[in-house]
Amino acid sequence: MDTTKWLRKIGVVLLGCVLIAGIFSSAVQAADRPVVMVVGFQNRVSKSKVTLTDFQMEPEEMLPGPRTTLEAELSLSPRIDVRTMDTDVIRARYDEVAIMEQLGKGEIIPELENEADYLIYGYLTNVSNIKSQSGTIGVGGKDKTAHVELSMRVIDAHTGQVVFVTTADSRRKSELNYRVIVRRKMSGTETAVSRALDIAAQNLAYKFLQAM
Amino acid sequence: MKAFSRIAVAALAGFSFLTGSVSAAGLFHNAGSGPRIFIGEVQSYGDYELKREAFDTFADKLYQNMTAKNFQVVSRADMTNEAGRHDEGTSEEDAKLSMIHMDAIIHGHWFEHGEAAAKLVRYADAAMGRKYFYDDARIENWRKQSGVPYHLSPSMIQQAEQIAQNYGAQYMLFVNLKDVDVRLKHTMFASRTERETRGKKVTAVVDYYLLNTANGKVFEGHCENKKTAQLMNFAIVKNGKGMNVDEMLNQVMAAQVEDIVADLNKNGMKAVQ
Repeated sequence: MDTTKWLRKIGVVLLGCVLIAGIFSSAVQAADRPVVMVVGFQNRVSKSKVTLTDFQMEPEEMLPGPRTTLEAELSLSPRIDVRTMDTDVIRARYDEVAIMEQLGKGEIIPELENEADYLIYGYLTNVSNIKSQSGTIGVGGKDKTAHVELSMRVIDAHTGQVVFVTTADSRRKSELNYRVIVRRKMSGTETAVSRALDIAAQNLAYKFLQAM
Repeated sequence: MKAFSRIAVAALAGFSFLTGSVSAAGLFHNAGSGPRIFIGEVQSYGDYELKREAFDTFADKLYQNMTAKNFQVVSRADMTNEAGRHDEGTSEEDAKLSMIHMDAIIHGHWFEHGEAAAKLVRYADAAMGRKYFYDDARIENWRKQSGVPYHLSPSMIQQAEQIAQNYGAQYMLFVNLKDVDVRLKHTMFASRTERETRGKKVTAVVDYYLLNTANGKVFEGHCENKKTAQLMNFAIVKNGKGMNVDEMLNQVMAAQVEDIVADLNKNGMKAVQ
């Protein structure tokens, strides 16, 4: 009887210790996890309408998608805490060039200084519709591939220094137009570009997490 | 009971130490075990300039490639130092980085006075006198010694050392994309603004300067590509015949960045010791 009581007491004490240790370690982890914020994506592709005649979308319209994808992918990692910028801050500081210049001069952006340890800037560096000739006997035609390239810089929000840079690209078939007996369905260019941007953003997130 | 209490406390302490969390202060501090290099400026001091976006993209590719080859790379957010290059109400550091880069260029083996940007020409004339750059025999002799390291002006060495210390680096890297051009073949006139690359030629000439701030030694590298779109496509075999201008420039940049980093690894680091 005494032994049972004694064992029960020990069991309760050990269970309590495990619970306390679990809470303590979670608190330590949460307190110690670096805070990362995706500031946004900028366009570095030439803005001339002549050079983008293949696309209906302006480059700026392509930017929100990769940002959302990158945030979502990074949020899956338990090793970092991904914080989203307030809508007000986004509206007020949408001119990211100004932010970059301030950081370049070593000035810390007040709105962001206490919000994050690391700031992520993304860039659309290439978007093109590559034409290729394909031919098989009895089949003639052409198909296009959307090719996009993204770049990412990670900046230490406290020092303004760049601590990590990576690039990622992706290709998706955008248009199939085969002059054959059976006409194939044509897939939209915008859909292909969006999908390619998603994949490229996922690759950026993967490289970020690998490098940590 | 006492023994079990001690075991419980030990278990509690053990759980605490077992929690492996990434410290906020050093997310990428383990990246690279090689020499620590500060990227000072990626710019153009040649006759023609690309837009800032192209320099930034080149800088990104360079940073990524250097990290992949185990260099520890550090830079400011403004890798191209656009403000310093164009004297736009700059901070002291912006202006100093531009001057250090120019000093490295004018002392280098590949400097051509007649094909330099106005700012660089003014700096060169003030620093060395214009006659210095029209001594053909000296220039030819110096050009033949390409790869031989040299020193910056003493005042520039001091400034470079101070800046490098601020970033915890011993080495600094400057890149001068002095000529990047896409034009129609067989003509001296600029090409039309169309995406199709058929019949176009790309020229890309890059000089880069690795500076050891501990002793002021500079290694100058030179990378030159002159290719038609067809030749590039054949070599790279990545894109279809319809590769456009942006693709072409991207491919050229990627190829040059690889050459630069390989050269730094093979020759540059040894030369500046």
